[in-house]
Amino acid sequence: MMRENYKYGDISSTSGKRIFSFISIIIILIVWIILCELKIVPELFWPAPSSVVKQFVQLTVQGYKGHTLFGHIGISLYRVMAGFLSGSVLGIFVGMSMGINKKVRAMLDPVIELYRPVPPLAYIPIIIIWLGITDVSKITLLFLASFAVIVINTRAGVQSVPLEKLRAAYSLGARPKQVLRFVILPNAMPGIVTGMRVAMGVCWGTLVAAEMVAANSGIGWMVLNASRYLRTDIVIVGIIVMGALGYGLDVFLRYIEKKVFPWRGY
Amino acid sequence: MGKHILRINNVGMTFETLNHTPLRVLNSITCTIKEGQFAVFLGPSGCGKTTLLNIAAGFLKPTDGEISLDSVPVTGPGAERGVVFQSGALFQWLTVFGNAEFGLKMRGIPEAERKEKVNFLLDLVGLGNFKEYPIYKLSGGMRQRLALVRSLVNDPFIILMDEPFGALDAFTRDQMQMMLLKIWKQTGKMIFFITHNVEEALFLGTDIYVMGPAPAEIKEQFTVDFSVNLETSDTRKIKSDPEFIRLREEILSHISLETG
Repeated sequence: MMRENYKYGDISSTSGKRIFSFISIIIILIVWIILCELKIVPELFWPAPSSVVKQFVQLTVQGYKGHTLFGHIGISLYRVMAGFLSGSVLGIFVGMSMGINKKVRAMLDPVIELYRPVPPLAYIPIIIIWLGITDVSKITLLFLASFAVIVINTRAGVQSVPLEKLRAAYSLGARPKQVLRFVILPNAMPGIVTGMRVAMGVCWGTLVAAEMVAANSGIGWMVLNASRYLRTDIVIVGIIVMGALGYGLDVFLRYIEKKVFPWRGY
Repeated sequence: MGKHILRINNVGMTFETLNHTPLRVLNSITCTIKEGQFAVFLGPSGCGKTTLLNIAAGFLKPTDGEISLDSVPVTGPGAERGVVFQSGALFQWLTVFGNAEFGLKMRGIPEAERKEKVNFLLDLVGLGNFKEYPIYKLSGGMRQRLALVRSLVNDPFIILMDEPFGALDAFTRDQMQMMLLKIWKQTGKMIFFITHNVEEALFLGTDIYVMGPAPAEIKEQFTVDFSVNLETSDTRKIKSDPEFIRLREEILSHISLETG
């Protein structure tokens, strides 16, 4: 691994400094244990690590109201993936069309710019009226949340192709369809994947909130339901799981980004 | 030899500026480039040289006049006119090999033939050991060598080069000039070369067109052959030849008169 030989501005991940990541997590754990052992925070508000771990095991084995922990996770992931993937497929298609065709751009631009600034959760009431609290209602919401983000990033990626690269391709004998496929699309790919990363984050956040409003399963619903019975331990397990999954999804997309586009930033 | 011919016939170009006042950048340019000639267009930056190249490449439509290659009017970009840009304009998502074979692939040439041609040309410019390299790992000189190969694979009638060595350091620039002359002599292609460097123009060219500031016209034309002696002489000897220095000073004084 090459490293820049100066102090600030080296952005090459955290390689070689992982130990500090562990140290910070261990410090958090120690503070947590001390606070609980000394009974500074009541168990009701902030349960000890041991009871959280115990609850995690129990949720995994016995489950919570009809589904095991991983059952709830699976349901949530299914909703996120269905909404995210449908939003991505259609978003990339619409974004490409807007990027290359002025008429399509003029037609769809006001529609997307008007619905995009509305926080996705604001659609929940109307979606419940239309689709009830089924899986379809959550997937529709997540589709809406991811679609606009991906459209905008795809379109920007398509339009970012340098004039000279287009000219080079045409003067090398490429036909318009070939320029689209072999120059404009690959040039837009990093932007598209960045859009997908952002959309994934938005989807995950929207899903958990949506499940809290209208659902009877899923990890977000589990947390909300448990809080009604003051089961703080279950709530904490749920929050940690949500954080870990959101982080894991982003790491996965970042890994893909690095593998597929090592030329980013050049 | 002597078959292909590029005619630039009374070409002029007027751009519409942002505040809608017309801006004349090229004024009645007329000249002829024949196969085997190394035509250099020399002029101060911003004089419209690049516009002329863009018209010859078919990227821009001239306001008046016409450019034709072998009596066929230029109406758009085409593989028979290869272009090398100052920035290289390489495709960073492809490898060195992928960039080099691009034109052949677009034109549906079978893989075996592509491989043979690309490998030959990459070896010729000294990129044979870098075929699988990503573009971002190449130096500036390597990028321009690849850009040249990329346009050469199509076997164009003419190569249009827009200040291809302008961003390189003096040492690399010398090497690139030598390499270009070698390839030009080997293939006998006509070259349309743009530069604002008088020494580069005199060293490389056979026909030098000196252009004034915008709206550019051809102020003067020189026919030289300093690179003929390249095999028996060396670069520094050629560039310190009294005749070379005399012409360099003459052109420089013309340009400074025009701009000053």
